[in-house]
Amino acid sequence: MELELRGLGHDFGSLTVLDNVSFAVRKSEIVSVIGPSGCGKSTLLAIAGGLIAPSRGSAVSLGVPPAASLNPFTFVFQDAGLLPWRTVAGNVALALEGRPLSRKAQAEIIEEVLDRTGLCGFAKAYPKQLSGGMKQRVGIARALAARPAFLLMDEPLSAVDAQTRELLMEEFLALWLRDRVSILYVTHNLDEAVRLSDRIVVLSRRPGRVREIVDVAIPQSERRRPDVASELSAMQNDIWNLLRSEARNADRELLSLERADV
Amino acid sequence: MRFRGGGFEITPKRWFAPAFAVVLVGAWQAGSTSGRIDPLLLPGPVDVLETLYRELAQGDLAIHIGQSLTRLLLGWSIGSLAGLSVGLSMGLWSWCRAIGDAAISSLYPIPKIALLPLFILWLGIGESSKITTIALGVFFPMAVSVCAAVDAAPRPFIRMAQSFGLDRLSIIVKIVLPSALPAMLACARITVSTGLVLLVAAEMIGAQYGIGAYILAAGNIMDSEKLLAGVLVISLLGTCAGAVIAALERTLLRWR
Ligand SMILES: Nc1ncnc2c1ncn2[C@@H]1O[C@H](COP(=O)(O)OP(=O)(O)OP(=O)(O)O)[C@@H](O)[C@H]1O
Ligand SMILES: [Mg+2]
Repeated sequence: MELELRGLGHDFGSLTVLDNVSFAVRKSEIVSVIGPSGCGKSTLLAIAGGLIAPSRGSAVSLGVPPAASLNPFTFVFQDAGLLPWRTVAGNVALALEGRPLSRKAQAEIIEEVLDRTGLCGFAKAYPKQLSGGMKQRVGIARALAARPAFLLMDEPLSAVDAQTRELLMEEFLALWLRDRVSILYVTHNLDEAVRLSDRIVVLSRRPGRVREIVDVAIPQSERRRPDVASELSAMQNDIWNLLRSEARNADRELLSLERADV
Repeated sequence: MRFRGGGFEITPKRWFAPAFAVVLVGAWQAGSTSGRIDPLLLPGPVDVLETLYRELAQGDLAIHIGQSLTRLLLGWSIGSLAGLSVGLSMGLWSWCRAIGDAAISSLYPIPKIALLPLFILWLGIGESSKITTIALGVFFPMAVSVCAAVDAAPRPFIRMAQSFGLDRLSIIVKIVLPSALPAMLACARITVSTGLVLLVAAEMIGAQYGIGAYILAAGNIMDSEKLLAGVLVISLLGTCAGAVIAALERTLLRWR
């Protein structure tokens, strides 16, 4: 599946959060969205996934989802979004309920995705018994169970420690290499962005506008090579400078406001 | 390092409660045996227990208890179910909220026992007027707390469920109700005692059988042993109901 955002804008009451955002996520692409806190990234993702109706513009999905897909556009949330009163298996089952599937077929899918995400022994555990990284894995397992054609991920790794993040990123890439679904990936983390994505959309501070779209023209398989690593970190640096100038502008505006007050 | 943590943690102390009870009842018994306490005003614990046993075995205390239990169970269940449905509707639909908020804030403060004479006028002196009074007393707190619990159902969970394409009914059943369950059980604990109060009051106003009528009759003939035996029964009823709800909490809220 592909997704095109066309002149997207959104207001919460009198607060304009997004303004004229246009870009596309093509088949099997991973596109990251990065930007200052509060610039509208989560809102953008919610609009893309049909959870919020945009004030202006539109989010258009292109292509026909595969017949096996239960929920073509599937979210993975920042805090995993697990129901505390359901076990791991029960949480994964939520993605399958209300679908024309037999109990046996459901159980098979649950077992398969738990196996793929390394959660086999934890099917009967409750979320409170899991570490942050494992919760996030359950969130990913639940998303996979829905057989998505397009994943919408909102800072899925921001709640876990740096080591777990490394691990999950690798696992995640391995999963992606198998299914090749398209992904829209919101993050705060520049390292994640350059490691995972084909393109990086840099948003300005609120109201979020597209500041720049950076092409990471390096195949996934080569990104771990040492000589490529320096190229990636140079890219990271450029984006960082962009974001910093955004923050500076904000400070300057604040200063001028204060002067006007005096 | 001097220990300064602990965070005000409450630890289970198994023997404190029984020990405290033994000391208290022991002092009471000692006072009665030595004659310091007038047995007409406060009979000793052994006498009360003896009376309770005798009344259960020979008298018609068992019939009184049976009647009271039926009324309490019926009134409480009807009130709780009605409160649950009204609270849920108020939490889910704006027009129910608008009407319900106004109705509840004007009717909730009325002491329900004040309505018993009216219900007797409408429904007669029989069972329905008493059951209605209990149900009404249970209804309001339940409706208010369920409505608040539905309000507090985490919005991110609802959005998550919507993102997986669940319909409205599934979201109510699978997200809203489970997240309201702890508040519902906590409220049930409170409404059981509300129900007991109304039960006894209603039975004192007009009933042939019932624990309230039993206590009133004992008081009228100044039989303080029977009176206290009746009070003991009420206390045991309340304790049992509390234990049942605690057991429900343990099994239904294991995930907490
Ligand atoms: N439902 C809402 N009602 C009103 N304002 C909202 C709502 N949701 C978000 N906002 C506001 O919109 C702005 C953008 O929010 P959003 O969550 O999209 O930002 P974000 O870029 O995801 O931020 P972060 O990086 O901190 O997650 C914020 O200023 C926020 O306060
Ligand atoms: Mg966000």
